[in-house]
Formats: sequence, C-alpha cells, structure tokens
Amino acid sequence: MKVTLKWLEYYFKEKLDGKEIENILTKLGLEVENREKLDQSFSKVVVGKIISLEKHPDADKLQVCMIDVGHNAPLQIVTGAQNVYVGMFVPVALVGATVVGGDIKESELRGVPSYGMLCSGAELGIDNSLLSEKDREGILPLTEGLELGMEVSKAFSMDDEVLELGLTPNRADCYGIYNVAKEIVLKKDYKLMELEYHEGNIGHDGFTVEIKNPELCHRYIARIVRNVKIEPSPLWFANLLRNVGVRPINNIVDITNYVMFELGHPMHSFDYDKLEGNKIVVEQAVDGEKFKTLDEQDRKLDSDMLLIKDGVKAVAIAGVMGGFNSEVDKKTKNILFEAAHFNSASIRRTSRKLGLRSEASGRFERGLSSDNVLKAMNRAMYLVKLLGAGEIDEIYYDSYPVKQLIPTIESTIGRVNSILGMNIGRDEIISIYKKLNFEVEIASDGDTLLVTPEAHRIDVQSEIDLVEEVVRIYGYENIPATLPVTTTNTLKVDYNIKLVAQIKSYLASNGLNEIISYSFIDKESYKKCGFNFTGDVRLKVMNPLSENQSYMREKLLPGIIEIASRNYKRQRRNINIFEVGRVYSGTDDSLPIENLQLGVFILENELKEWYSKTKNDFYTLKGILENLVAVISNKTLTFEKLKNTSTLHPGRSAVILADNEPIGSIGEIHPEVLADYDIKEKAYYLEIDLRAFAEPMIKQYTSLPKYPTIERDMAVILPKDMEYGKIYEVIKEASNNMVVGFRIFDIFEGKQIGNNAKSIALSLTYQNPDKTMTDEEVTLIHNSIVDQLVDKLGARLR
Amino acid sequence: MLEMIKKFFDDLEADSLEEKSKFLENLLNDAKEEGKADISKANTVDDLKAIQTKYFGKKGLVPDLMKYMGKVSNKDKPLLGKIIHEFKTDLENHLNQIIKDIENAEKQARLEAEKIDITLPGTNTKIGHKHPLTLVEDQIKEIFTNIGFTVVEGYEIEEDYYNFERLNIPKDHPAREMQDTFYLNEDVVLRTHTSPVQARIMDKLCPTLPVKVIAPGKVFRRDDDATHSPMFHQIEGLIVDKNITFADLKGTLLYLVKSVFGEERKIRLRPSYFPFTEPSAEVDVSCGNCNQEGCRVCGYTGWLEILGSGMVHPKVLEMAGYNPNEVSGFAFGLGIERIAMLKYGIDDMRLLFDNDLRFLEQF
Repeated sequence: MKVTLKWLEYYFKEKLDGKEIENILTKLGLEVENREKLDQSFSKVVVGKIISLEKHPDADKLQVCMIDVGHNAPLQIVTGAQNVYVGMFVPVALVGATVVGGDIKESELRGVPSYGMLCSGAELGIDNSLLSEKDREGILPLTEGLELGMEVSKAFSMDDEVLELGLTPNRADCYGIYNVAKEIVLKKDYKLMELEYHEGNIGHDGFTVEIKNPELCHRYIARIVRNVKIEPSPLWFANLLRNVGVRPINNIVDITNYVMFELGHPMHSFDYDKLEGNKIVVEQAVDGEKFKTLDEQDRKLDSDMLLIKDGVKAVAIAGVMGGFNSEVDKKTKNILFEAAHFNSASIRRTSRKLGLRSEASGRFERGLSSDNVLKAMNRAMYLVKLLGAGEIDEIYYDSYPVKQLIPTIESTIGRVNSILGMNIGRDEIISIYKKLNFEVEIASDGDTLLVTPEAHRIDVQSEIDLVEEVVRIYGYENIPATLPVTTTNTLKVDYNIKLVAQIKSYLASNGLNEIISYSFIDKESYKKCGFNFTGDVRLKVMNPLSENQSYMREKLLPGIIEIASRNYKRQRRNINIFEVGRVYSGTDDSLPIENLQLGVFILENELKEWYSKTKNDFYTLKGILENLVAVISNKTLTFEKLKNTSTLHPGRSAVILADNEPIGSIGEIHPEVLADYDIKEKAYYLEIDLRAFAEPMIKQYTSLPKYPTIERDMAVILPKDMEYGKIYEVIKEASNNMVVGFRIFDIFEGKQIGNNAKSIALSLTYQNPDKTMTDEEVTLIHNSIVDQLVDKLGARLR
Repeated sequence: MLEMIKKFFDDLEADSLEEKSKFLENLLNDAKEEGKADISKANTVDDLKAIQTKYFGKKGLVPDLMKYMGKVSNKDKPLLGKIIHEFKTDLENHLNQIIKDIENAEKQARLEAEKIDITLPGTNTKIGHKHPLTLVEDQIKEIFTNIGFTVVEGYEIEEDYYNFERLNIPKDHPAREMQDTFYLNEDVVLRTHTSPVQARIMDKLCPTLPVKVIAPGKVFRRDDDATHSPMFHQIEGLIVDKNITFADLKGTLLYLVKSVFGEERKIRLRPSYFPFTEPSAEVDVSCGNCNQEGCRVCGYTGWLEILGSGMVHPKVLEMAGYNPNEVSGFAFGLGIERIAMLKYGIDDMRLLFDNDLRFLEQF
C-alpha cells in the first residue's frame, strides 16, 4: 500500500517530514517497508513546447526541433522520436540534467548541435503501467498549457515522497489514506481536515436493488450521475493517483479509484445506458456460467461466485472486476455508481479461483465496514461535483440487509493494566480512546469502561483489542522490562532431545561434519539410490515449489548423498558427514509417522600424510558405529548379511541389529549408485533408526578385577571364508570365562599357506576373577581353545 | 704450599694458634683461590675429577692438613678443625656445583640433539563440526532452560487444525496469506511455524500450570530466495501462568537478546499482528554492525528484525481449556537462520542448506 506525503499533507494543511512520518507509523504498527523520493531518477527536466520541426539534413530518422522553454532563446534539440509535432508540450532535459540512462551534455548529432534531450516516461523513471498505452511509446506528451520552463517534477507533483506500507491483515482500514492520516494524529498534534460529502435521499421507486444472497452481500448502494463528460482528470487529481501507483484513466474511473485509496472502500462505475431492466440484482452465479470481464477475458464461473446483474444479464463479478458489457467508454453519457459490501471470504475464494487479484478484491477480502459504504458513495458524489463531471441524481438506492454490528466493549482499567504489567491511569486510558474517536462511557463502579469503536475499526471486537490499542498508543517503548514470576513445572524432557544432542556431539568430536538437508526430496532419487520403491503418495506435497522437492523423505540417504556429491564435484575428498533428522512414513491415519534417524556417510579418501597412509573403509564406519552405540546405549550390536540390496554393495553390507532387533544397515555404497552421483571413489554409509535408543541407558558398576592378567598369542590357519564371528564364538565357548581380552593383530593370505586359506593372529588376555592364574592353568585353556578351533572350524596351527 | 704449611706447624708453639691463625687462614685462602682457578680452567668432568683428587684424594691437601690435628695442642684443636673444615667445604661445594653444571649441560646437549621439526602439521586431523544452525539452536535452548523452560518438540507434518485453527486462524482468515503453506492434503500441512506446539503442549498440560516451554524445529513455507528457504528452523517460546504480563515478555526478550548478542545490545518492540497473540510485537535488535549509525546490514535503520511475539490470545487459551480471565501468557517465535546469519555475518541463507564443507568447517 503506497501513501504519498502530499496526499497526507492535503488532510493536515501542514508540511510533513518523511522520516518523522515513517517513525510515527512504525511505532503505531503500520510498518513502513520503503520510503523514497518520486523524482529521484531525474533532475533539471522542464516543460517545453515544440515551436518548429525540421528533418535532419544528414539523417533520415532524426528531427531537429526548436523548443520554447520559457526563458531566453529557444533551444535546438535533435530527437530520434517519431511522435513529436509542432505545438506539443514535452519534457526537456536541459544540458546538465540527469535522467534514467545518464547525464545530458551538449552534443552534436551528425553535424547538428543539440542542447538537451526530449524525454520518454521511462527516462523519467515513470513506470510504464502508470502510462496509457500510447504514452508509453516515444516522447511523453505533457498536458497542453503547462507553464513553460516549469520543473517537470513539479508539474507531475513528483517532488514528493512515497511510503510503502506493509499492512497487517487486521488493519485493512489503512488501505484508505484518510485512515492512515487518522493514525498520524494519534501521535502528532495536527488538525485533521473533515472530509466533505455530497449527500442525497434514499429513493424507493423507478429503480430497485435486490440482494438475493445477503450472507454474501451485506449492502449495496447505487446512484446515477447523468450527462457526464468522459475526459481526462485534471492534472492535480491524476497526479495524486499516479503517485500512489494507479494509472489515471478518465474522470469517472479516477473518482472511484480515488475514493478507494482515500477511504479504503472500493467502488465501481457502470455505463448506465448499457444496463437493462432498471434494476440491480446481486446473485450467485450458476455453475459453468461464462462472463467476459473488463480485460476482455472470458471467465468461467461457479456457484460460489457472486455476480452483479441488471434486469437481464450479469454485468460484474462482485468485488472483483466489472464486465466488458457495461464498461464506461468515451461515449458514455450516464453512469451508475456502485458502493457495496461483500463477504470477505467469498471474495477471496472467487479471486483466487479466477486468478484475478485487483486493488478492489484485495480490500474486500481483508474485511471492510458496511457502515462506510454510504460515506464512500457520498464522497464520490462530492468529487463528481468538484470535477464537474456530471449531474448527480438527488436520489440513491440502498439495500442494507445485514447491518454492521459495532460492539460496545466492557473493559476494566485493572484488567488492562494487569495484562500489560503497568499502571496506566484511568484518565490516560480514556484519553487514548478519545483520540481514537471511540465512544467511552464510565460505568457506575468507576473502573469499568464501555467502549464503542469507530465503524471502520472492524478489528476492535473485544477487550483484548482495546488493550492492544491502549499499549499501541501509549507506546511500546514505554513498557517496562520485567522477568516473569512463575511457579515451577516438572515437565520431563523427551529423552530424544538429549539423545540427539549426545549423538551430534559424539560424531562431531570424532571428525564428522553435521549437515542439514531438505526434508522434501525428488521421488526419482529413490531409484537413483537403488531403492525399490518410488515414494509414498501419502507423502506427496500437493503444491511443491518444484518436482525435486515434492515428496517428504522416507530415507536420509538421498539428501545426504546429494550433498556428498555436490562437495565431491567441488574437489572435496575429505567427506565425512552425518545428519540426524526425521524421516516420514505414510499412514492411513491423519498424520504420517515421523521417525528420528541417523545417517553417516564417509568417503574412502585415500590419503598419504607425512606420517602415515590412511583411508576409510567399511571397518572405519563400523568402528564409528560401535563406539557411538557404546556411548549411548548398553545394547549389543550384531551384524548379519544384508540381502537383496541395490543401495549397498551386496558383498560388503550388513543389517545392523541391536540386542537382536534390526535397526538399520551399513555398508559400502553400491558402485552403480556412486556412479549415478558422479562419485568416483568408494564410499560407506550407515542409516539407523534412533527409536532403538530412545530410552536412557542404566549404567551398572562392576567391581574391578583384583588379579593380574596374562597375555598369550596364537596364529591359526583357517579356511578363507571363515568369518571372524564364528572364531569368536568358538573361543568364547572354550575359554571358560577366563578370556577377558581378545584382539586380532594380523590377518594374512598368501601362497605360503595355500590358496584357500587365511592366517589369523590373535592375542588373548586371560584372567581369573577369583585368583592369580598359573602358567599351567593358562596353557591348559589356551590349548583347549586351539583344540576346539581345530575340531570345529578345521583350523591348523601355524 | 705444602712446605709453607709444614713450616707453619713446625714453628707453631703449643696453645698459640689463636694468635697466629690469620697467617694459616691466608695460606689456605691462597690455596683455595688456586684451586678455584684450576677448576675454572677445567673443561671436562675428568679434569675436575683430577682436581678433586689433588685436594681431597688420599694424598691430597685436605688429608695432609688433617695430619696436623694430631700434632697441635688440645687447646688449638677446635680452632684448627674449624679452619680446615671451612676450607674443605668451601672448595668442595664449589667443585661439586661445577661438576653438576657440566653434567647438566652435557645432558641438555644430548636432549637438544634429539630435536624434531615442530613446524610439521599435527597428526590428529579428526575434527568435525556441528552445523551452525545446531550451534545457535543449542545456545538458545540453554538460555531458556537456564530460566526454567523445558524443551519440547512437535510434529513437522501437522494437522491444519493445529497449525491454523487452534491459533485463531480459521479457514478463509486473511492471515493465512501471511504464510504460503505446503499441503499434503486438505487437512494436513507441513507446519508453517512452530506455533502448533503451543496448542499441543497446552492440551497435554491443561489444567496444570505453568506452561513454560520452548520448542525448536523445522518449518516450511513456499519461498525460496537469498533471504527465504522453503525449509527453515524456528524456536517457539510459550509461557502460561497466573499474572504473566506484556512487560514480562519484554524483559524475557531483552534477556534473550543480551544473552545471544551481548550486553550492550538494545531491543525495540513494534506493534504488529499475529492472530494468536494480542497485543503483538515485532522485535528488533540494535544493529551491531554499525552501532545504529546505519549500514547496509540494517538497511540504514539501525535495527534488525529478529522475532515475532505477543500475549497469548484469549481465544487460544480458551481453546486449550484455560480460562483467559484467570491465566495469561506470552509466546514468541524466532527464526534460527536469521539469528545465525546475524551472529556469524552470513549474507545468503542458501549457504546454510548448501552444506559446502568449506562453509560448515568454519563453525
């Protein structure tokens, strides 16, 4: 919503300071998003008149003009524009002027000197949408008769500042500049001009207004103006509109637009002679009905939409746009002005369905006062009279089936102060209401006030709205800052919150970087990641920004690998990343299930350092997992071969089980998946469901062993495919609980031991919890372990 | 020297040492100086061992002197003992000190020779980083848990009912346009703010008091540019109890801002509108980049908008089952991205979701 200083000054007869007005409005909750000078893009551009015009001797497309700029001798200016003629009033940028596109200097065009430039609207920084189509091409024609030599910024009233207001939905009334002026006097001691109206008498004969859907149209007023002369508005009037961003069209349309910007209430004008049957009927459309709007578009309507009809046909879509069939044009003789009040929700639905947002629909859908409808009509009639636009009928027709309920609100001084935590006196509170033009009555108890707001303040409905008004005008800056005094709650923190914090800290301390990816993904990425599903439609976003953000993720991998790939393409090789976040699974209940998951990705990243060679592999990732789980849980991890996977390498991947419950998977990422993401090294990934760890673990102390440990090594040759897990089982069983430590320090394969074999070297730590073990005792167990390995696994000693 | 000492004792009459001691002391002083001179010339521990032998060995000066103890009179014995002792300890201490110094120097040289290149990079390269959004979220959670708030979480995919209606935003309310919403279906949305947690937690706790929670989490809106991301993070704060005031809201937010940005920062509350709070306030923090003199960061206003807040609307309390005439509350919601950008001077929100490791490693 744009407001100019000059428009505001008109109501105060005072010169306003833009910065001060910005501060006042901001403090009152009318946010000023931008403030700028209208003529900031040009200077030294004056009104001139073309007194002669000749073809350039050496250039077909150029013309040499002599321009009267009101003083001294006429200026010779060469122009390339084609729409110029002798007698035309034009904007002239003098030597030394600035316009959009640069500074103007004395110059020579093909041998002919030129002392300035004729300007187009664009060169003055005037938006094309504010100019009529013919004025957009070539030099901007100025109104004839303007004082020659006058600054164009003055002629267009562009020596002005415009404030762009970001209005909140509750203050739709401030879409009227007069209501903005009312706000300013709350903080500044200006006298606000009373608006003048041209009133009339309600008529009952000759013409009827019939509202068939009073729930959608609360009030409709029609008034006829005869013998109108359709012409451009006077410049001062057109300037006011142009400067708030409205293109002047003709005196009648400009009047309705002016009222809309002044009072915030949209109006409409029909060519009265194009209406039939001497009546206006407000009625819902029929499903499938077609209607051509002012912009010559055929619109398909449905029964949710409200139409304005005459006795025969539809002539406008209520509150949204008029009809092509009743448009005011140059030949129009008589006008029917409409001022009405429509249901805001209905207007919103209609304009959304039609994809048609206008200044009018925008105001209606935010909610307006139906009491103000007559004011708007009377103000428009005043302007008709002021501009001498036509003869106003004494009579108007007013159908008002749903009266606006203006509440009388009960509020106590004590309540206001107890909400604010302040101590504002009764008189001060009353004076605030008075400033707002709210009626106040003091009840007999002396503490209760009965407050009736102004009609246009439809946002003030209950006591809390009054509290807001009081503090808004008292000033937020005058509120003290205190800390709340509360009782204590014993709400338990969800353990997940602690768990996530612990996991993030652990992983970050161990060299992994946390990433955050989008919760919505491209369903195609499941395929790319080797999953055999394509995205649950119950998790599809109806209105995504793009296809690749259209499904709520069921897995973390697509987001994580995308980020890994992006970093890889930036030549990054040290990629160790993790994400903790929710994935979703569709249900037939109202909401999907949200599961907390952890995904960890590490790239092989073979690295030669001056002290060693390192690279990540499956076991690096497995180590990270095992240590993490030991930190967050007492659960025992086991690993089983992962079946049917195209996401992970079938020979190098596993299901992760915590206390025998599957919680996720781990492995080398499938080479084809990596290739699809342009990653040309091996990479490892694990994803686990954190529900398995959602309970705090209970730590239990075990007493420290009193007796010494003895270490023994062994090297056994085993079949190549023999899994370590089996060896571990056998040793554990044979050890009689005397083996407390267990470490593999070498795995060897080679010709010396045969093709189908491997050698494993183990170090075992023996300890008896009850006494010191003798060498003989250790040897006995050690040998029995060897025997068991030989018997059960076909091992032989090396 | 030995001769002169021998002569002195040969000439010494019984009981006369006291008178003549000066001469002996001078003699021994000379001997001591000579010894010290020898020591200072010595280069190695071996040289010093030789000097040690010369003075303290079996045939050295000190044993030689001791022989005279048996020859002097009983009366002279204590004095002679004292003179010899002084001579001996003095020289011996000096010698031992020098030996120790040389030994230390040799040990030091040996260790110096074992030197390494201390400018080579360290081998522990396992450094990871939490995401800056996590760091800011953790900081704000801590600030509020310190004053008795409990951290709670809500659904990311939420019912329209909780996301809007329970916050006094019925269907067709103009405020729905303040936020462009992603829908899964007519009744289910990606939550547009963390505010539905207000209704969820009040439902859980009502009628008990107080409600004193903060709720961080992901939220979603249909916006994507340098200052908007379709997914971002908020922290909701809510307190409901008896006698909670607008002044309490201001004080709490001042505490928050000073905790996050520093004691010297100020706040400004501006009237605003949210359907679920009234009175409502947008909160600005004074620009730390220019100290309010006006700069590009604050758009030459001296203030930076950081959060929205207000007194919980009576209808919101009522829908949760609380009596708005008996209890009151305030709520606020802040964007974690916004705070992170201000705190770390990040100028493009998209950096936070691009996850470039060169960026993430800076935090």
